[in-house]
Amino acid sequence: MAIYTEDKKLVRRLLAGDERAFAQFFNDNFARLYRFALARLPGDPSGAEDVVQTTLTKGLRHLGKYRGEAALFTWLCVICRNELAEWARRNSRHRVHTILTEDFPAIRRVVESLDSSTGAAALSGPQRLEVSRLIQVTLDRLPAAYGDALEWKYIDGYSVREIALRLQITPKATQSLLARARRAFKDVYATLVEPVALPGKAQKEST
Amino acid sequence: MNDRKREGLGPRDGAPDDDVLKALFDWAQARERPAPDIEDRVRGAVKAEWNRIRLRRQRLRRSLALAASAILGAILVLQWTGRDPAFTTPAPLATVIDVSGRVSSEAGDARAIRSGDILRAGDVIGTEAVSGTSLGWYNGIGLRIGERTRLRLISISQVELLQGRIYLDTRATPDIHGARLTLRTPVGEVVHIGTQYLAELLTGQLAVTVREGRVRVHGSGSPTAEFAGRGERIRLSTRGPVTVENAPTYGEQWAWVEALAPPYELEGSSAWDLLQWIGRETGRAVTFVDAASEQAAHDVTLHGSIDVPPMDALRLVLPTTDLEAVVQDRQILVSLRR
Repeated sequence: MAIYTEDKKLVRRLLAGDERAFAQFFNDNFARLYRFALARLPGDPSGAEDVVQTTLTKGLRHLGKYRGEAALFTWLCVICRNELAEWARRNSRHRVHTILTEDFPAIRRVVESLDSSTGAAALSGPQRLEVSRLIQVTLDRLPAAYGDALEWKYIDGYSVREIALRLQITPKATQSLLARARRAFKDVYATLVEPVALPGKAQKEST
Repeated sequence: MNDRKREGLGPRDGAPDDDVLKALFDWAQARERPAPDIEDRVRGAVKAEWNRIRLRRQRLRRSLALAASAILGAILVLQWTGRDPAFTTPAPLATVIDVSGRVSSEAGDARAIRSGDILRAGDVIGTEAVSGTSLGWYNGIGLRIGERTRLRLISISQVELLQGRIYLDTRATPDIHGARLTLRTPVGEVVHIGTQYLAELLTGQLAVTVREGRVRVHGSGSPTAEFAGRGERIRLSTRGPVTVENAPTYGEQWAWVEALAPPYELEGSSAWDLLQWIGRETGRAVTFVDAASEQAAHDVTLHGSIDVPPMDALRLVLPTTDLEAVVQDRQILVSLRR
């Protein structure tokens, strides 16, 4: 069983009352949790705000129970799911039944070839949006620095040197981090999507 | 079939190369950032909760450290001097949390005591009419002294009630368990077994009323002990039989105890926490009419500060939530506001 030692260190610092640990805890998790909640409360930023606030405060109250057997963000997502369920129950008139691919491992969407010369053209608009969303979800599931570094490089187009400045590490360390981030991205993304099918093959629609 | 495409993202060593990810990310947009005002609000609220949690942990650590150092200090003094503790600096036993009216300590020169004062072994605390005090014992026990009472502090585990009334709560400090405080009186001795109880020594008779848990009472000169549990009162005197009768855990008899309740830390607590405190301080059971109202109580986070007795807190704070409460004798019935 993997032990998330960096997350455990952060939790120890939080329990000791370290102010900088709180800043790191909030900065690493707030935006990701907000996107996690908003995806499940589409069009309701106010509801997402309430749910995330409750999630983070409950997380802080129960920090002593965190064992490091899952990533801290994953642990917070479990709390967030419970809060989402309670929020939906209290606000039943606003409930929107949303099914997300990553919430149901048995549901898989097939995307066409990753070869940009053929695959992109073969994807419909909604499919491309879904791929984009799954990429964002994957980035959020990674450790904060990994997700940020990949987004800055491949979406925002920053150079390695610029990313190094943002992360306050050397360019060499940044390249090493990007390599680890790519591997981690592949592992997580692969759990969300089926292996790529070649253009022309029928797509499977999930329910 | 192209093996690389079958794998989906990368070469055989498992690390997707730059070109593949570039192609994939061509379809992606940057992740949405929450609006700055949302982030500021949430950060402020979560930070306030964290500060509250930190403060509570610090107080607990301080109480434990103080208790440990007081005990250690007493041991070291005894070992060093080899003499009766009465001839050394008396050990600190408790801190005064709150004072109402005129309360004094009769150790040496009589002096008025104030909130924050440290009380030591040998102090005799005296209260006048319409007066009282609440003490935080260093082993975690909460002790409240009613009007017209004299109480001698003997050691960390013993006090002597000379006259009047005291209230003892062995669970005043969460997370501290197993603390002991024996109450001695001219009539008998009271030992608690995890409890809240009220002891009154008036006109030569000792009456011990149990709100929670059990007590064991030894009459002076009696070889046997009597037990009383929740909702029972033991009466004993130097002459006459010991009697055990039913006694309410709430109501007028307990009013002075509630009036001396230490302030409740409202900021960041849930409505559920507040209701449990009110129930505990008033000797009533908190009952939720359904699961929805109980969950709603858990979900409401309270802000601000109060320094009022428990029933006033119920009247002041609950209307600010979606909950309402009806007090029915021994029960506080909570439901969602219609």
